[in-house]
Amino acid sequence: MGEIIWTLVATVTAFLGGIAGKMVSDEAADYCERVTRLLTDASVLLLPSHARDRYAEEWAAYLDEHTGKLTKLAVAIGLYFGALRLARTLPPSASPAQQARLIELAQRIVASMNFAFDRLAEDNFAELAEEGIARLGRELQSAVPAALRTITESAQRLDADLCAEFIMELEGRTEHLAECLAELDRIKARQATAK
Amino acid sequence: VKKPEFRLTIPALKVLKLFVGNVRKQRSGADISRETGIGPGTLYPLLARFEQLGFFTSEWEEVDPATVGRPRKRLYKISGAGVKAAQEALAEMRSVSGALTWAK
Repeated sequence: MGEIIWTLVATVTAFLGGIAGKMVSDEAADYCERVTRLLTDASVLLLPSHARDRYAEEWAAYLDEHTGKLTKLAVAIGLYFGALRLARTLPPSASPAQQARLIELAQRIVASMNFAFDRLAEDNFAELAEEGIARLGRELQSAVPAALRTITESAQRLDADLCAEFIMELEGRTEHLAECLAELDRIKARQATAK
Repeated sequence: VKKPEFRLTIPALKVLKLFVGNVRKQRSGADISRETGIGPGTLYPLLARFEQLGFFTSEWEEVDPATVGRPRKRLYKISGAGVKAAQEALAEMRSVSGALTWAK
């Protein structure tokens, strides 16, 4: 009789132990996944802002190529240490002042274009096909703000060196545009005198 | 633009050697890690430095993540400058190991 009771107790204990073990392992697996996610997010945040989107996606793909929650956790730990070193390797993000200058230059270019197209459309400039020019002006005027929004968005994702390159190029183009607009005014003045 | 210096380390040599073996092949970070045994903590700073030096180029895999059900991989490829640097580095390595053998 005693043996039956002991067998029963042992069976129940083993059963409960199994359930508890399963619960603990499920909990541990969930915990592993959460820590992996947290570590990956933290790793990405260590990087300069212009590089975050790229590495978030690249590392998600890297983790995806590994199976097993513990393996993924080990990989995420490796990525965290990699991010610490990578943050020192990558160039810094563009400063707010650089970003603002880039956007300002882009806005000046857009304003110059709008000005030029207004002139072309309203004054039937140089007797060009007025409908075609007016339509081109309208199309470009609606396309340019979208381009400007893209530049504003992109400015936040540029590193300092690339931002400096863009600023230099846009400064050159702004100067050139100003010269073109001045030329436009001179031609217009000549035409008015001729009339 | 200030370029980072190229330091000849064992992981750098392993990665360069892997790519010199097949210069046309594109590899993801996970492929390189698998084939060289280099962990992500060393690999990604190294790949970033190689890209800055112009030794490697990289581009996104041309798949739609929604269709394939996984994130896109970033694929790396060695450039002409990278092949040249790799050949020089491997030659230097061979001459150093040759000198060490001779010294014995």
